Amino acid sequence: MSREAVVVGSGAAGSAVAWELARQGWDVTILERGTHLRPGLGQRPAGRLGTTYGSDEIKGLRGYGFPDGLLEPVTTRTQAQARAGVARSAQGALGQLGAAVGGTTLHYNAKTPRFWGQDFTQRSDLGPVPEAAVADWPIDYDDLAPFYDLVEDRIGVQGDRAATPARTRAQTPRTRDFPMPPNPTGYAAGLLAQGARALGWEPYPYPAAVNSRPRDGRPACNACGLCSGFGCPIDARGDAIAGFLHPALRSGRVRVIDRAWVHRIETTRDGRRARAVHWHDVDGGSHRLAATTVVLAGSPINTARLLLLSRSTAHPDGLGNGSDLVGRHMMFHNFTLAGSVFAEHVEPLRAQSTTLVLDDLVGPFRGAPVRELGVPYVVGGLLQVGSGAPPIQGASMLAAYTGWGLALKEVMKAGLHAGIAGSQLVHQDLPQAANRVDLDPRVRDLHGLPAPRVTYSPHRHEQAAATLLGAQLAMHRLAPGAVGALVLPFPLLSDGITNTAHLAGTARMGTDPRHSVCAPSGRLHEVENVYVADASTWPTFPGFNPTLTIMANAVRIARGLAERSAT
Amino acid sequence: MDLPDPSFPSRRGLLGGGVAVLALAGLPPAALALPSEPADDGADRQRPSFLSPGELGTLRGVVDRIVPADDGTPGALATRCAEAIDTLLAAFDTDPPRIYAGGPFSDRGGARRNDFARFLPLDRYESRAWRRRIEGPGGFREVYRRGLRALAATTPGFAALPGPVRDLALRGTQDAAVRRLLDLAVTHTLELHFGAPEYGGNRATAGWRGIGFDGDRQPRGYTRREVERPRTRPLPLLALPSTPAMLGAAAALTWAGSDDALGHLAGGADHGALTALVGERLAALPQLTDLHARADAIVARVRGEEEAR
Repeated sequence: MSREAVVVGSGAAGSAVAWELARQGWDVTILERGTHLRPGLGQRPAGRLGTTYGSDEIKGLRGYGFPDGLLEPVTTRTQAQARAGVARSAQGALGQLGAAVGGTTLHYNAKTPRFWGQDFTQRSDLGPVPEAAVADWPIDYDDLAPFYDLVEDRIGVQGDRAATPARTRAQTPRTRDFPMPPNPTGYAAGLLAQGARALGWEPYPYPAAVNSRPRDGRPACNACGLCSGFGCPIDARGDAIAGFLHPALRSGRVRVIDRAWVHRIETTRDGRRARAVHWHDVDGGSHRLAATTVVLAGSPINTARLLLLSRSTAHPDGLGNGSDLVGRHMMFHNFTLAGSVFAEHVEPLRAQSTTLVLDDLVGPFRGAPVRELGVPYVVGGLLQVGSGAPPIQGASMLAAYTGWGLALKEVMKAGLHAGIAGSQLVHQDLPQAANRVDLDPRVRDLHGLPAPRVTYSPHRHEQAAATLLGAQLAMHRLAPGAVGALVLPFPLLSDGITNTAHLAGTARMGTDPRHSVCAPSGRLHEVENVYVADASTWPTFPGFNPTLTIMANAVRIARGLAERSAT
Repeated sequence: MDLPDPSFPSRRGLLGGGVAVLALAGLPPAALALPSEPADDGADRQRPSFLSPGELGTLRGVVDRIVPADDGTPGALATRCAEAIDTLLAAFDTDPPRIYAGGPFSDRGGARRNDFARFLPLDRYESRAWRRRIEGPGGFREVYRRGLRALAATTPGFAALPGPVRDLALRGTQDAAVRRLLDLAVTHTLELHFGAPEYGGNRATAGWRGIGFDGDRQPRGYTRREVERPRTRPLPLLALPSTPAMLGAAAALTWAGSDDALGHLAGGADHGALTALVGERLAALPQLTDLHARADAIVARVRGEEEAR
């Protein structure tokens, strides 16, 4: 078999796949709809890449490194709207994920917890939930553990095993400590941690792909605090480029074609094998690239859309969609946010962002208080402790409450860069068949192709979790010096998509082709040589930042692909 | 310039506010003061411009109300946000277009050269999107031009009116073009007043200094001591007791900090409106009462345990 692959997407998943395949002697072409934002990529020595990013909030707000909603719209609606026959209720940039060579990792927050052992067996352990399609993963923690080790080393993760609670260590057994010790804890995060300890909780350093000391030619983080949504100006943050794509390109076996929009996977007449991918350039030019193996790594919405766009006589409902599950079980991390209000400037932005985390709200929770909320159990997620927000973000949000004018200006003096320090609870989102990506019947992208349409509403479980766990964020009133606290439970606020950059589902993996799109190997059940390597494959979406697991699972899938092909 | 001498508000202008004039009774004298004229400089005279002098004058009167001057800290008029918006409308008059500042460093955090000052070339995708956003049908240019003309027509002499009168004219407008203008101008003014000065606003970083924000700090960053033991200082005594309730949803939304994407909705032009929607929903939410009661119980329990010890 030819040792050659076409990979769609150059982000966390695509870069990891390309790196592993190149290491195994494969030749890889990556097609990426975004463009190059890191001068010297693939050419200069490690640690010598340039960047066009800066500590510039306007650049992020203007969508630098993101797909543009005017040219690549996403449309959305809630489940209730879908039932009422509403075609769409919003259109534009969904804004969830970036589009650039290196993907969203160019401006992500780089928090890298591992999923827990219990996450892979949730259905078996906890039983069914009405109107949700909770499923066990076809792999378990032990299958991913060596890849977690590998990825943590490649991207450079900081953390402190000794400071990690016993429960967390038991759920995420590790053969070695983190590659680096943690950064200093921000003052504001420390105050919030005291509030958490008053409740008996155990905050600890948040594993993060951020250098706490110089490593592989890249410097240590100097705590500017402008992380999420910003490219790191000093390259202290580990990402898909530093860990995988740059070394893969330097191997000479990998190339990236940027501004390449893949819109169809062409198969043999019987539909059993892919033989090419078709893509458009920015000017609308059409290209065909022959392929003996295709790996999809464009993130859940794009992967589902591409499979649906690739319908043919042999695959009338979309490639590999005999199960009618392609695009279904779209999951987003909803957040419940909370914060302490202080009467003094506590410098919430002055630290490597969100330096602490706690696991006390992961669950599962059962018993009478849970049953009263109408669900059999509640699973939560980790709480990211101690963050602020830069001023435009703060101002535009506060403006909605104070209105514009003098009141806003006065409130800003005590705003989210100054007197308010917050936390985010990452809610597990249960999979639902009615939460799905399909093709919008009318709205088109810059190439005239149907836009992805996302139908989504949170499950009753998410609302129960927000009520039960959100109340416990009263912890923020217990921080020393706090004069008030705030809680904002997103799942209660919105019956649609809320703000999150965490996506999973749409092509779940499993052993039964009637109930899954991909095999545990990532290969489509119905097509011999098409693999899905991104978070589309996840049957559930545990309440942890996903990037580390995206990378680990992608390397696992690529290694399996290479090893099977070698035999 | 386009605004009259601040010490002589014109009678005609005052009357032009119509109904608004009635609302002036009871306002402290200081509230009547018109904005002072910020010093111009050579760079401004050469900057690309789209709006006519009259339109720019009206826009100056708008941004001045979005972020007003107060005791000691300048507002958006003085930080040149109107001129910065005008420059954005003319972004494609320069090459590269003034959309994305360069990187990685300004000269404010220890670098010798200011990379922000050199704007990045756009590729064909970015150019196409931003040309459409600024110059296309329904784009920024159209919204500003139509809105400013409508504002001048419905409120004659707008720019010359005292601040509170202008507030009333803006808040009470029934004109769709003025509303669209205001939505966009609020977003842009906040962006430019609180964003990097290379985009034209936040002149001399007065926007940042006015709220105690350090600004961009790279490549110097912070020392361990600055992180762990910052010199804390009391915040201005705004109405803190009422603040938490008021800030509820808004503040919390913002902490999406670590995973936020809201700012990118609708191409970054509409996050304020989205947040307003969320605020309305929050206010109407029955489950919140339950959540607050549960939270109160938890705090009471912990405090009770502390006292028992």
